[in-house]
Amino acid sequence: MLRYLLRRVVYAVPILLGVNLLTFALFFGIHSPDSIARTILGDKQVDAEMIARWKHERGYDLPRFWNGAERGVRRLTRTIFWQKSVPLFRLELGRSDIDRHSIGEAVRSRMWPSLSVTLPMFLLSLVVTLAIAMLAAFHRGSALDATVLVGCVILMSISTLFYIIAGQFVFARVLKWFPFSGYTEGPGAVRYVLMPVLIGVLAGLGGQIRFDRTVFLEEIHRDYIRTARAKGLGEGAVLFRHALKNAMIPILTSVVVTIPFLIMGNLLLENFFGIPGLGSYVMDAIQRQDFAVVRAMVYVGSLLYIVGLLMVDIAYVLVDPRVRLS
Amino acid sequence: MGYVLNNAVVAALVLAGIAVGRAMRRSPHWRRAFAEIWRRRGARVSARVVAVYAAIALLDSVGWHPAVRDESGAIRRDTSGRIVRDARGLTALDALLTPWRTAREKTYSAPFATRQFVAEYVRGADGSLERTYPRLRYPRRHPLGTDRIGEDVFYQAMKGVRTGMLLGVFTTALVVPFALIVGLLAGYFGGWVDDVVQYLYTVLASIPAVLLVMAFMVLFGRGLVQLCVILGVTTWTGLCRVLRGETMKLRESEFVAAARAMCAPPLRILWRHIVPNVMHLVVITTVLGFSGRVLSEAALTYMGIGVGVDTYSWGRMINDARLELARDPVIWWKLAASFVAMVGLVLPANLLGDALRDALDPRLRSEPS
Amino acid sequence: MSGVSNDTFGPRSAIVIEVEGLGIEFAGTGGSVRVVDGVSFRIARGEVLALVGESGCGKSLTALSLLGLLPPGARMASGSIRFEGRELARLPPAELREIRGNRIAMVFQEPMTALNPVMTVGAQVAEALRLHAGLGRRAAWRRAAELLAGVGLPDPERRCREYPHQLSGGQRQRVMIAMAVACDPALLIADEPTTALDVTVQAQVFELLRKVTVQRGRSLLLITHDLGIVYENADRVAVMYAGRVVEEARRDALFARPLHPYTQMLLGAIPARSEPGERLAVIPGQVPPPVEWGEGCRFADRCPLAIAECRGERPGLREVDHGRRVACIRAPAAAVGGRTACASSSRAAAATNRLVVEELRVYFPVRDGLFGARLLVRAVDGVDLVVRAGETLALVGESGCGKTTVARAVVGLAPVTAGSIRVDGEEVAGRTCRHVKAVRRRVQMVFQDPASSLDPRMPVGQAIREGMEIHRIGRDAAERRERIAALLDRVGLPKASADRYPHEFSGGQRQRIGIARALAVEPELIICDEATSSLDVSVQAQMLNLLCDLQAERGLSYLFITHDLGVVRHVADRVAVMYLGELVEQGATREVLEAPLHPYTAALIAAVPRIGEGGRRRLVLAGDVPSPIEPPAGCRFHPRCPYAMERCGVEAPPWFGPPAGRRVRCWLHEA
Repeated sequence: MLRYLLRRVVYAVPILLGVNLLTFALFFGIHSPDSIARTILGDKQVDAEMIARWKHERGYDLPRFWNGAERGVRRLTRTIFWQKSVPLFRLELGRSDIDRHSIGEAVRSRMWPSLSVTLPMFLLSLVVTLAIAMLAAFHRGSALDATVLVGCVILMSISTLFYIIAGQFVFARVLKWFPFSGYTEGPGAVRYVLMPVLIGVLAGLGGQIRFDRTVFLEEIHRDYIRTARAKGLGEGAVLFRHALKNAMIPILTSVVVTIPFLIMGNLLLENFFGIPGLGSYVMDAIQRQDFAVVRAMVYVGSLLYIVGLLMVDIAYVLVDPRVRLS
Repeated sequence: MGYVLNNAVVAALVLAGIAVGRAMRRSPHWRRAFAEIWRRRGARVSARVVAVYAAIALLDSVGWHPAVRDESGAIRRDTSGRIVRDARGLTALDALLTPWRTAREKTYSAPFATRQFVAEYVRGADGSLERTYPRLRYPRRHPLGTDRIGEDVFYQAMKGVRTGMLLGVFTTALVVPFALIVGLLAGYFGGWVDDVVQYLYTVLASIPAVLLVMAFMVLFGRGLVQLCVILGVTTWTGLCRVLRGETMKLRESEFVAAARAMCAPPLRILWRHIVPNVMHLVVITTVLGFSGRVLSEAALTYMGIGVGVDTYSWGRMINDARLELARDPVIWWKLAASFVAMVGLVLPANLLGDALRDALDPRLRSEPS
Repeated sequence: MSGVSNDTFGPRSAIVIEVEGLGIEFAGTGGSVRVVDGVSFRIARGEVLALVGESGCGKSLTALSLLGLLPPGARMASGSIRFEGRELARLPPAELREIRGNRIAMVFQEPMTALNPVMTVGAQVAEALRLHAGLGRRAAWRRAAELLAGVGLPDPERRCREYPHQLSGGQRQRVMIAMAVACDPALLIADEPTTALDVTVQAQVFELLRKVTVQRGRSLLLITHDLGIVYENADRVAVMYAGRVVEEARRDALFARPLHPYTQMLLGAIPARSEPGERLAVIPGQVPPPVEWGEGCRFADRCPLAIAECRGERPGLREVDHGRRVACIRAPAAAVGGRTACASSSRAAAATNRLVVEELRVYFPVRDGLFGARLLVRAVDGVDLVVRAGETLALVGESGCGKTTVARAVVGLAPVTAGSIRVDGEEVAGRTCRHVKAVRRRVQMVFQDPASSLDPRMPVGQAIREGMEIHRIGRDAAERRERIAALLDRVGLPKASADRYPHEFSGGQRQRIGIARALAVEPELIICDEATSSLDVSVQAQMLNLLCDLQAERGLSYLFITHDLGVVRHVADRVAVMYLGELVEQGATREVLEAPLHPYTAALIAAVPRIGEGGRRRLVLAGDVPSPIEPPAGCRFHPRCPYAMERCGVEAPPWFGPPAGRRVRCWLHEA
């Protein structure tokens, strides 16, 4: 087990490196440090000296990728790329270019609002889709099953943005059940968070139910189900005790990979409902050209993705005895 | 320039579509699959609806620059005698929708209304200011009302068809060859090729799509074609993964072993054996991906990285609707129009995709069986 | 069913189950198709009835319908099933569930997929107990362990906590049997219980089945296509063809004097029952698909004794002799004629060596689970073979012994770790196709699975042409088309087949296309990798005859990879026996099979059911084949060998005997 984890960590390094490289290339492809400085400083009465000072404060007065003026290995290390990437590998996220706030602090504090939406969404979605999919699989071929299928296709054919806009309109404005948007700390957050959670769950319902149902149906046609029936088990026991356990393997593993990403929050939901989470944090940073925040958050995002992949492998080991005991 | 490029893209897509259609007609497997699909009424209706959308998009792709005429109706010419043409250009669809295109009001009006939705202060005959709902210039002409600048909403919805179709079809056309080549190579050769490919798409998947799209837009400008390209770049991994998995399975099958024992070179095996046996997956994933791309346009436009301001799109309409819904009394027709238009394309596409999947890969039936 | 008196069944007079006029239909797009048509039989207490037939005859569906387990789309259209005084055909589902697993139990064919992979073995056995016997958790678990011990599984407590994939095929089937007898059923149904297992394991499983059924007074309905198994295990036999029972008799009577033409020809098609070099009796044509089944005798189109009346009315089962029933208007008179000798019976082995394999080793690196260390699977560990021009060498062994890997290495599909492979003197081991293309052309392979050996999206003509294009045979497209037509004709298919797709052909026809594909490049040696193993007996007979004729016409050599000793006896000049990656015995077929030297060879031969030799087999071998990752030290067979000496576990025996003749690797025969 230890050797395996070690191997995965080693594989992760070139990926993170590649991600960093690409982020830097993309960002600096759009803006040069000079133009970034100019935009942030406000373009009003900027002169070369202010720009230079701004760049020096933040370490942008070095060449981007290659420093021809230095000797030996310093040609690589005395560059923006190196100087800014290495701390990330130590998980030091640095400070914002614009207002010098600690990015790490921001992540730690903004993580909770994001989670307050994505975590309930995840759990609720899992339970609801499983229940409906099992119901449809149990009554396969019946009118109920057909209704579920048609419903899923319709739900899948509607844009997420529409769900949000229409949902906001109906629930906040017409029915007045929830506040339009906003957020507070602590338990009061529930009223603000309920609507985005429900809308988020609804938007993803169609696709997930269909996937779950397909997995169940595939299991139901397998040989061991026939054996279970030959033993005299009723349909309910067959579904719950035999099919479900096997169906959970692909379902769970497809879902586990998204768990680390829950921290990053849902961009659209946070924006529309005014949740001060990490999703809107990244959006703002991109639009304000705060490179420090962007590269830090992209790094965190890819780290979380790799962790997610790792969790999928581990999940396989936990739920599938064929993998656990070779 | 953008317009010419778009038209060339459309022409290329049409030609590619015809080529694909003819190749499929030759294979009895595909003929049988389509016959089976055609037997289902839902699939027939869906196919017809999508065909209507495609026809509208095509009409909107045939364009010209009409000559500018002055008040007397004479054609205006410039100093060297050449005809002055309207820079904006018209399409066949525009010509067809002229009654709605040219019926500009001042501001909002409800569907089929005779009067404006917003009240104004009008100076009456006796000189006093009166708060009234002015009569429309074209009463009862607008089946879906007008928006803030008085443009007919029905016209906007129609113009959005081309954007949606192009996004769906063109992006797919870009993604398929790329994902096919990469996925097949990774699945068949394994080893370092596979490692490189997996590295590539893990890195790409880690970077938020938003950033990628923004960077691309800044580098290459905003336009429908550019949006299609970058949308393709961010969504190709799905198909690639599926093809890679299927290729790995096919590689172990006996008929591939037979070809290898016959000393067939790898490229021949890939082209003659693997590609025909993964095509059904390509078609299925393509049709389903089409819907996803059309739907995602709204979100991208909201985030400011969608189509440009001068392109009609349903996403723009949905975004405009956000402000309109905040009004009191509420203005709902733009939202409804874009919703119906979008669902009207995506739902049949999804149904067709399901029918295709049931016909081509019976293991993945989505219908109760 | 009239006219059959109860004392037909002798002293055991109680009838456990009686099926009458069973009809099963499949609902299709163009109306329903009847796949089982008026099947009737009865089974007495403690009796074994074998339901025999080839694929598609409806025997499995008949068995499934007894328990109401028909697949979706199939339904029982008519008939009655009387069991313990109840009519099963009309029983409400809740009552039927009470009978399943309790009074009637079933053992299925594929033990790997028939068990739930994520549930422990003990839990699955205990489930039946808790459901029907009402036992609590602990009691059920204990009883499950007892049952596992009863079916011969060592260390039953530990086994209970293990998962199906940790057990071998034979062990899994024992678990299935334990599950089936858990609630003491009156009738056990076994549907091809050993088809997926090796022959030595087959013997063990049948021994077990006999122990838990007949010896306890339970009845057994055995569904199989293997007449050897029928001979060894059945009391009475019912032969099915195209959805109907065509003959029913006691075992001895059926095998001594089969009455129905189909039964006669079926018995004649078994390779083990014919002389080597003698042509097998072939049933012309093939089994018609259900849509073509008419009311008259469905065998008439293929029957050499058919007359006009046969096709008119349905021939009912008539009683002929005491206790025998036949559905044929011409029986019992006519017997099907004899056969001519295979043309190549007098082939003399030429002096040239087509294929010489020396010290071939093929090792595969494998990872032990997700986290484990790297291990080496020694699939082939030092194999020497010689195939001369015009002769047939058979390579036999059970699953996992490495024989298929040898075949794949010879044609370049498996990586060679060490050793040499020379075709007509030229070395091909480890060399890529680019360098040795011309040599590779001379060795071609026919694969095992007709379902997947042809590209489903390629017309068969194109599949055959592929080799010709690669090796530049034929001057132009026209000439190639002619050659393809000629090839198809030679293998017995219509010339127009070239434009049709594989799914339009039956399994046997697809194997012939495979042969045509191999012949297209004019090889000198053809490797048949279990080429007939998935075919029905009558279809296999056609294939073997074809191969025999082709060998005589073209002077081909064959390397026959198989596990079926009957086939070996029929086609091979020489045979090599393989066990766990090594050869253990070699020599002329007749000598090896009649007087085996190596204990493993003897065990293999003893495990094969022999028809017409009276008593049951002696079981010689216990346990399962060990894993090729950690082969035993010394002689690899010594842990299972009844004659093992001390020396066997320490030192691996060398070959004793001349390299080209009869030789064996066993200390018993130290010269």
